[in-house]
Amino acid sequence: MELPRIEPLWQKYKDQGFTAIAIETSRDREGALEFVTENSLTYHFLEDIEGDGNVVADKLQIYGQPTTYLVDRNGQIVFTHIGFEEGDELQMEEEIKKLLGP
Amino acid sequence: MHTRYWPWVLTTALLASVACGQSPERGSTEMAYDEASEAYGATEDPEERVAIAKEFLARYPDTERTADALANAVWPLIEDLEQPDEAYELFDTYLPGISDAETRLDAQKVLAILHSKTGKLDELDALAATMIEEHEFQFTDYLDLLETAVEAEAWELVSRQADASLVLANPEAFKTQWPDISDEDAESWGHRRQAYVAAYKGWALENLGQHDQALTTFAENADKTTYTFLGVDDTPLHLYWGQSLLRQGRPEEAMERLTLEALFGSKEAMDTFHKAWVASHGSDDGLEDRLWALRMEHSKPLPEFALANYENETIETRAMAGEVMLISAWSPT
Repeated sequence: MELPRIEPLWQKYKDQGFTAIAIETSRDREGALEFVTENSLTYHFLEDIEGDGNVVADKLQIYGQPTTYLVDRNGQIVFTHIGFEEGDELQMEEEIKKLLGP
Repeated sequence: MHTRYWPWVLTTALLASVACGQSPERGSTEMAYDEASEAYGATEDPEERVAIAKEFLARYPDTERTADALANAVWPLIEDLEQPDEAYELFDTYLPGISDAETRLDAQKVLAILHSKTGKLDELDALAATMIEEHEFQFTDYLDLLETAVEAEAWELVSRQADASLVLANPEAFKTQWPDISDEDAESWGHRRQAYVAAYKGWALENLGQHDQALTTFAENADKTTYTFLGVDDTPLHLYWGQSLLRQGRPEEAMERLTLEALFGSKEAMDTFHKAWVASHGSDDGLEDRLWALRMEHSKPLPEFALANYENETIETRAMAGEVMLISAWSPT
């Protein structure tokens, strides 16, 4: 599971203008909270209920999980990660550093 | 059980849960399955996992979870323990006893994957015929079979089943299944299915050595695909098109065809792009710079949204202008 791997990135880069958001799509509030607590995750954990629709499938057109978008300071989606394998977090960190800039 | 079993099963389960939008009734089978899932997820040991799955199967040999349990037993047997005979034994034991048609089809799909992993192409062929005869195939059933056949590199089977599935890849078929949708939507979805089929058909033709026909198949169906807002093809058409061009010694065209898939889509597409670059330039030099330039050229803005966290505070992306954002979609199961 990739979400616990995001926590150290959040801790390391949040003071440089980095924000991490996880959006839970199955409306399993109990399961989500359990996971967040068990793994001591402190970044933004949101529920995917926006009005009548949902953000992940409708707005972000994400159809499989886990999927991660990395957005630059201009609000452009520059990197995507579909699925997650061990070691992907290392690449993500390189990408985050590049987007944060000097 | 651990939900990270073979990709297609996860996708089907996700689609099903999204489609019904409700949690299932907690009958005793579900509760037992949840318990077994927890235990399965709690251990990394493949032998233990197989034992947990087998125990569930022994107690619940004919329920709507039997196919899932079979998958969960077979996955470590094949991927970690390399014991295909034991996997086959489980099917000999449990498949005949599954009475529900849908569960039976799911179990047969797992058996098909087993055949593909063990290279038993004749058995896969025979099983495909059995499955199609026994069940009224939906389009997604054809896709599952096509994916398995591609994994198995059973190109004749891919080609044949691609042709067979076209009967469901047209606007009329949509109208029959969903009479209330507009003609426009039916046409768009019907075309997308055609593009999906053409992707597999073209790739099979390429692997059967019919290079020109492969490229023609892709080209003729390219305008039927749909794209995400990032510009990524919703079907495998551009991926297979690019892979075919690369194999035919046309790396520049390959890269052009699957640029967006490589940038924002699958690792497979990026891998193909990388190979095409090396084929074209002789080395990795310049690839990273080129990819970065392409990202800057093709990136799309993140759609704005506002969602609540678990303290009922609303978090808005508008308020995060100027920050680097990581946004991850997930669910606990």
